[in-house]
Amino acid sequence: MENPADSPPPFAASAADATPGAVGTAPTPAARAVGATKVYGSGDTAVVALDDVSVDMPSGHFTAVMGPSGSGKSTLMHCMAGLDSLTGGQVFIGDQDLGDLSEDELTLLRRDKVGFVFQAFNLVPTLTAAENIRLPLTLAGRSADEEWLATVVKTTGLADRLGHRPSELSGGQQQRVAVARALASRPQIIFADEPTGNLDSRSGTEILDFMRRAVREMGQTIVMVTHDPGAASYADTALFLNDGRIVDRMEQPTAERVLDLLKSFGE
Amino acid sequence: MLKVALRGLMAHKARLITTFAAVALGVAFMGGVLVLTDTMNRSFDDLFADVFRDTDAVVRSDQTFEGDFGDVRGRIDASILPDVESADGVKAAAGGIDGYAQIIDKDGDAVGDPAMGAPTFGTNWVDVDELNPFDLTDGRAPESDGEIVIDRKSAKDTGYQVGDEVPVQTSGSVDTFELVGIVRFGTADSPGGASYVMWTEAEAQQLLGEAGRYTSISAVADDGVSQREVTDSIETTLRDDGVTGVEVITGKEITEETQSDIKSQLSFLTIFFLVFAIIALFVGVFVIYNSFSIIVAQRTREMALLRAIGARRRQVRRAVVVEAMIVGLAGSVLGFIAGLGLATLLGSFLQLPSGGLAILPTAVIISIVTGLLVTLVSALLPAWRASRVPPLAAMRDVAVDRTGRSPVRFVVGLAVLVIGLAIVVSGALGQKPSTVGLGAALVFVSLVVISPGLARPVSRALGAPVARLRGVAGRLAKDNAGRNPKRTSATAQALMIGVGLVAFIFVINSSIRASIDKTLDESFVGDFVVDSGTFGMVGLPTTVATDIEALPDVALVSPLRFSPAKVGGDDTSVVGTNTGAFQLLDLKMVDGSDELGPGQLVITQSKADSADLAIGDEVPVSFLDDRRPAADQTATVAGIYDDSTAAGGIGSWVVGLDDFDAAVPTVTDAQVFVQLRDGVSVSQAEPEIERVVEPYATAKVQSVDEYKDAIGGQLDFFLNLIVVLLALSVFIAVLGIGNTIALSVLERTRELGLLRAVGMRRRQVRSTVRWEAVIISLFGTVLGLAFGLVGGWGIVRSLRDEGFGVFEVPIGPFVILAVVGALVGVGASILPAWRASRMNVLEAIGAE
Repeated sequence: MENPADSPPPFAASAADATPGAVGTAPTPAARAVGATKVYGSGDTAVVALDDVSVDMPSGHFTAVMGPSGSGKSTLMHCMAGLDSLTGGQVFIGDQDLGDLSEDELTLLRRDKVGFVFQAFNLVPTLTAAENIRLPLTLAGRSADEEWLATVVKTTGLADRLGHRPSELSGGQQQRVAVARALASRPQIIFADEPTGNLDSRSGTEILDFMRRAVREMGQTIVMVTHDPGAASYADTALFLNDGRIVDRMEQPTAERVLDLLKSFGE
Repeated sequence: MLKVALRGLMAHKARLITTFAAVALGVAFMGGVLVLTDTMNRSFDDLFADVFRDTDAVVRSDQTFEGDFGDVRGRIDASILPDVESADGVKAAAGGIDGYAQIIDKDGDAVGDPAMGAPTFGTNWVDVDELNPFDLTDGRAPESDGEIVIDRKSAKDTGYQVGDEVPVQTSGSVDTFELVGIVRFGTADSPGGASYVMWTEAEAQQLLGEAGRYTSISAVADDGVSQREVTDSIETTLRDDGVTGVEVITGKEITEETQSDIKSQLSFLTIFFLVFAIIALFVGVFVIYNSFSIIVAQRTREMALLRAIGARRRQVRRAVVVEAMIVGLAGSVLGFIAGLGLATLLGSFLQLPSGGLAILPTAVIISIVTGLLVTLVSALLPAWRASRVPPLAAMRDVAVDRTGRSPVRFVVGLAVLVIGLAIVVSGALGQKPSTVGLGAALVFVSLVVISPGLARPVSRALGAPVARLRGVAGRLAKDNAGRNPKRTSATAQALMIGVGLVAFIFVINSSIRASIDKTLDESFVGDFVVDSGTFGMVGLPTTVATDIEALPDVALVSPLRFSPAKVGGDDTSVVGTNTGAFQLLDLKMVDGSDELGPGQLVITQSKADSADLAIGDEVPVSFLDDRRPAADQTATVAGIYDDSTAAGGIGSWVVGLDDFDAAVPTVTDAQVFVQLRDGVSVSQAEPEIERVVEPYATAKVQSVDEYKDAIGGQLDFFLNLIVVLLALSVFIAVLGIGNTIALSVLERTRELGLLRAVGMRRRQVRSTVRWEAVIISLFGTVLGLAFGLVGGWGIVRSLRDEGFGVFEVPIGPFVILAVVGALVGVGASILPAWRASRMNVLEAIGAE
C-alpha cells in the first residue's frame, strides 16, 4: 500500500524528544539506541538500513515498531536485541553497551536479559511445551522461579497442554508458548518480531491480549515489530520508521489512527 | 531434466562428498587388491617362465600325496639319470634336489621365515648351464663338500661375502659352510624374494633329501628337437629300461603347472582381501543410501516444485539416478587410481620385482562397475522416494520427519530376529557352523529391519546419562538422535557391520586362547615345549630330542614328527611319537594300550567312530617314498585314545618312532615335549635345554606359559591383520556418521538459530551436536557388539569338539570397542559441530 520510494516528511524532532524517558515512569529505559546506524554492503551498492536512530524503549512499556517493508524496523530490533551488530552508534540493554560485548557475552545477555518471540518457527520441535518454556532457564542452568512460572503458565491458558510437543499444538497455542518462554526468565526486555504474522485473527488477538497483560499485570517490557495497525493498537506507544529513520510516534495508538498515519507515508 | 540433475549435483556437491569418499575408498581397496594380484601373477608367471626357459622335459615321481600346504610328490632314483641322458634328442640332463634350508645370519638369527614370508630353499648347484637359471656374480660354483653358494639378496641382507663361514640349518643339522659364490636370478637378486642355498649334488642329497635320489630330472633337447619329441623319447627309453613310478612332462607343462599352482595359492590371498573390500563396499551402501535419502528429504520442496510444473515421476527419479551415477563414476575412477597407489605401495612392501603394475582391463572393469553398481543400488530407493513426492508438498511446510515407527515392520523384524537366533542356537548346539552362519545372516537382516524401531528407545536409553550430565545440550542431543529413526539407524548400521565383525573376531580369538589355555592347563603335565618355529617346514633334527633326553635333569622327552601318508587309501597325515606323549599331554586311553610298539597304531576315539575301527583291526599305512617293503606297510590298531578334551589330541593316526623313522626318508621333529625330573625347577633346567637348542636358529624353547603366549602371539597376528582390514569399513561408517550429522545440522539450521537466539552458547551447540553423534555411534557399536557376541557364541559353541572348549567374552576389548565407538562419534562430529556453532543467528532463523 505504501510506496517507500516516496520521500516522507521529516520528523526531525522525534529522535531528540524521545530520549529522556518521554512517556514511561522508569528512570532507566530497558533498552536504548543512540545514533544507531546500519549499512549493508558498501560503495554504490550500499543500503542504509538504519540512519542515525536514537530511541528509548521504556521499562514496563509495550512499544510497537511500525513501518513499511524495508523501513529498517526489523534491523532496529535485531540490533537492539544483540542479534546483529551496528555499523555506527550504540545500543544498550539497561546500562550495558552491546558493542563492548564479545560473541559469548552477547549470547549470555540474550539468555539472561532478553526474550524473543519470532514470527514463525518459535519452538524447538523435540521439546514439550513446558520444556520449551523453561529452555532459557535450562540453558543457563538456572533454577526457575516456580511461582512466576506458574503465573506465566496460568496467563497463557495452556496449563493442560504443557506435556505436548509443538507439532501437537495450534499456531496460536505455539505462539503463546513462545511468549511464555520469553517471559519465563523475567528478562529486562522482550522483542517480538511480527508475532501475529502467521496467525489467523482470532489467534492473533489472543497473543496480543496476552502480551498486553504481561506488560500491564506483570510489569514486563515488550518491543513488538509489526506492520499490522490492529496489532499496534494493543501497544502503549507506536514508533514509525521509514527509510531507516524514526519518522513519527503515537501514544495510545488505535488501529484507525495508525492506518491514517501509514497512509500519509504513501502520499 | 539432465540439466536439473547436474545443477542439483553442483549445488549440493558438498553433501555428496561422503558418498564419493565411500565409493572411492571401497573401490580403491578392491582395485588395489585386483591389480596387486594381477601384478603378482604376472611376476610369478615371468619368474617360472625364466626358471624353465631352457627346460624341455622333466622326469619326476608319479606318486603324489595331498598335504596341508598343497600336493607333495615323491622322489626318484638317481640311477635313472644315465637313461634319461641316453635318450634320443637329449642334449643334456641333470638331477635336482629341492628342500628347505635356513641361512643363519651373523647374529645367530634365521634369515626369513617360510611360515610368514618368502620361502627359504635349499637345492643343488646344476652344472648344465641351460638348466641352471642362476648366474654367478661373485666367486665360483660349489665343487666339494662344505661349500655353498647363496643368492645375492640373502648375501646383501646378511653381509656375508665370498670366503665367509656361513651356518645353515637344514632338516638334518646346523652346519657351517664356506661361502664360495654368490648368484643372482636373471637381473633380480633372488627369485620372488626367496632365499637360496646351493650345495654340490651329493651334499644336497644328503642334507635335503636322500642319498641317491633326486626330486626330479630336467633335460634339454638337441637343437631342432621339440619338447614333445624329446619327452616322448625319454618316456620310451625309460619304459624300455623297465623304470616305473615316474612320469615325463614337457617344459611347457611344468611351467604352466607351477604357474597355476602359485596362482591358486595367490587366489586364496586375493579372495581373503577381496572379502574385506566387499565388506567396505557393503558398509558404503548404507552410507550412500543414507546420504541420498537425506538429500532427497531435504530437497522435497524442490522435487515437488518440479512435479508441480510438470515433471513426471520418472523424470524426477532419473534426475536422482543420474546424480548418483555421476558421483559413483567419479568415485570409482578416482578410487581405482588410488587403488593403483595402494598396489604400488603393497608391491614394494612385498618386494615384488619391479616392472610396473599389471593393469588388466578386467581389474579396471570389475572395480569401476562394482563401484558404480554399489552407488546406483544404494540410490535407487531414495530416487524412487523422490519420485513419490506429491506436487502439493511444494506448498506445504517441509515435513522431513519420516518416523519409521511402522509396527508391522518392527514385528516382522522381531520375528526374523527370533527365527535367526533360533537357527544360531540350533546350529551351535548341533555343531554346524554353516547353520550358525545362516542364522547370523538372518539376525543381521532382522537388525537392519528393526533398528529404526530401536533407534528411539535405544537413543533414549543411551542418551539418558548424557542428558543428566550435559543438561539441555545432552537432552537435545538425545532427542535429536531419536528424531529420524530411519536415518539414525541406517547410520548406525554402517558402523554395526564393522564393529560386529571386529567383535566377532575378538570373541573367536579370546575363546581360542581360553580353550588353548584350558587344554594346556588341564592336560600338559610337561615343563617345556621345543618348537621348530617354521610350521615344520625346516623342522628340528631328531638329535635335538635325543640330546635333551640325555640331560641329567630331564625325565621324559616326546618328539612329534609328522609326515604325509596314505592310511586305508586316504591321503592324510601320520604322527610319529613315543608313549610318553600320551603321558605328557594327559591323553586318556579309551581302549587298548599306548605302548606304540612295532606295527602298532593308536587312533582317536572320533576316528575309531567315523572309520568304524576297533582294537586289532589291520590298516594299511604307507608314507611318501616309503622305505619299508610293501609287506610291512600295514599297522594294527593297538589303542584308542580320548580326543574330546584335548582338541583333536596329537593326531588321528599315531605310530611309534621306530616305525616312523623306518618308513620316512627325511625325518624332522615339529615339536619336542620335555618333562623334568622331580625337584628340578624350570629355571634350573632352562639354560641346559637352551644350550642344546641354541644352534637351531628357528627353534624356540618355551615353558608352558611361554608356549601359550607364543600360540597367542600367532593368533594375535591374524587378529590384528583382520582388525586392520576391517578398519577401513569402520572408517567409511564414521564418514557416514559425520555426513548424517552434518546434513542434520544443515536441516536444523533454523532450530539452531532459534536456540542461539534464546541464549544457547556456542559451546552448548557444539556439545549438542557432539553428543548426538556419540549416541548414534554408540547405538551402532552396541548393535555390533551384540551381533558379534551372538555370532561368536554360535561359532564357538558349534566348534566345541574342534578345539573351542571354552567360550569367553573378551570383556577388555569390548570395553575398548565401546570407548572407541564413542570417540568415533566425537571425531565424526568435530566438523559439523564447529559449523553449527559458527552459524549466523539471524541468517539461521531466516533460513528455509
